[in-house]
Amino acid sequence: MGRLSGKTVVLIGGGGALGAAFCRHLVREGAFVYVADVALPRAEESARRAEGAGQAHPVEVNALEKGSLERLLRQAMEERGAVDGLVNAAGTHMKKPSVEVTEEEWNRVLGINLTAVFLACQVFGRAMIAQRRGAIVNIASMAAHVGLHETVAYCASKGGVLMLTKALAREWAPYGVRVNAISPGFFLTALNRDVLQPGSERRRRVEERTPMGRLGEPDELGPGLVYLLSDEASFVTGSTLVIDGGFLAAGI
Amino acid sequence: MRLEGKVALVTGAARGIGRAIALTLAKEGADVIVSDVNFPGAQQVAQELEAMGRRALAVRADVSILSDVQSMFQKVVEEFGRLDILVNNAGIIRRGSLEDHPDADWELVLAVNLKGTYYCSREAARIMKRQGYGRIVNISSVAGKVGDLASAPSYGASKGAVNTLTKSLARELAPYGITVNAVAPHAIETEMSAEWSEEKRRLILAQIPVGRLGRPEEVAAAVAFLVSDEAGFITGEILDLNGGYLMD
Repeated sequence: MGRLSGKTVVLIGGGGALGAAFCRHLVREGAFVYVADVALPRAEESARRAEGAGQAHPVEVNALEKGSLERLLRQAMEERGAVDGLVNAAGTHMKKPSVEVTEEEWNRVLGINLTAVFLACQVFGRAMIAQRRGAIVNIASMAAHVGLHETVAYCASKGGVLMLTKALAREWAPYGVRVNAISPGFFLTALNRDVLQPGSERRRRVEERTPMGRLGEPDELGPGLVYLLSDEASFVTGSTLVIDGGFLAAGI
Repeated sequence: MRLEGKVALVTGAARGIGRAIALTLAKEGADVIVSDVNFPGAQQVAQELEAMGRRALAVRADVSILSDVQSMFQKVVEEFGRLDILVNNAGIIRRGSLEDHPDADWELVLAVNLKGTYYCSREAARIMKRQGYGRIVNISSVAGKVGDLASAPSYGASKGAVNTLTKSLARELAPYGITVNAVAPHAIETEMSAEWSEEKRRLILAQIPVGRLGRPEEVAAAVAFLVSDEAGFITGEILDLNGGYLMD
């Protein structure tokens, strides 16, 4: 028996590097996963690589469009009868000096990283409130806790995700809906592959600053996600699980 | 089972949250050293673990007394040859305000909750460093983060210090494959909470968004996750487990 046996989970951003790992862990633990991504081939690839007691079903979703999210909700309710879990793992990144960031760029980052998370929470949260059960996990970032260099929009969006998580946790606790966040430390993804290349100055600084002296592996995030979505975490809401090799705990 | 073949030591394990942690770790496959000042209580828990098919050892130790701690870890090495997991759960609480809090109580609370955690972590780290592997989890409290009138100031001060100790040790021990984390619970249903007046219970519940107290098993599940191999990139983390009472 997996820890998520019988649960239906919507995984938004399931086609990314972290999303693919999340998908593997969710399926291994027995969940039925709607692997949603703006790019269907990426969602299909994640679904194909997941094996275990559960199932992965790829779907194309534009999380910036409420109608697209609502279609997925209707599909899930028709096929599965309930949505037990929602994971918001889609995101974008932008690194440039703050004085050069255009309003369009700011809006794009805030739209994908924060507004889309709110919309998904709203659409699926409504169904969870009606069911009187559900667990939402939003993927934040180190950038929600500390200021990272020349990434103002990303930092603001991730800080927003943490606070949105707490606000919804407070509001929906009476309905049996838990809302938590995971803040990953530094993991290689498509978004940061360029700036964190092996041997680069930034990579070296990140490794030096992390007590474990290395980047994380995407598979090291999955178990935390499984824990927060599972019934074992039934008294955990409004919490942030930091998975960072000690990055935030460390001084010099 | 996530902890097969692991050896775990849980302090304050004769009852309440500590007992639940010992049972959960055993259920996940670990052999467990059950430590408590209450030796008959520790023996009883050890018998429960043995009935589950695990190796268990009851040890009487006051974690605030160095010689007790040292002989306990010596026994662990003699009997088990290794130690993979330490859960610093032993703790005491005193009620009272600033002016009616006897100095002796202040000393006692800090000695058990903080110094005890420090002593046990130090002895455990000696073994874990040799192994190149270890998991330490400290049971903290929401009182280590916010001003709390339900306990004397010593309790919050001790738990706040445990949180910082957690981070310092996480930083120091990371290169040796040892992770150090904490769980910060609030309002868990135990023998301690059973003593609350109806009025106090009502006040506490009114501040918890999920509208109920937590269960010792819920704390134990968080500990089981943090001490598993799966949680190897998590260190220096203080996991809040409070039904939404505090979201800092």
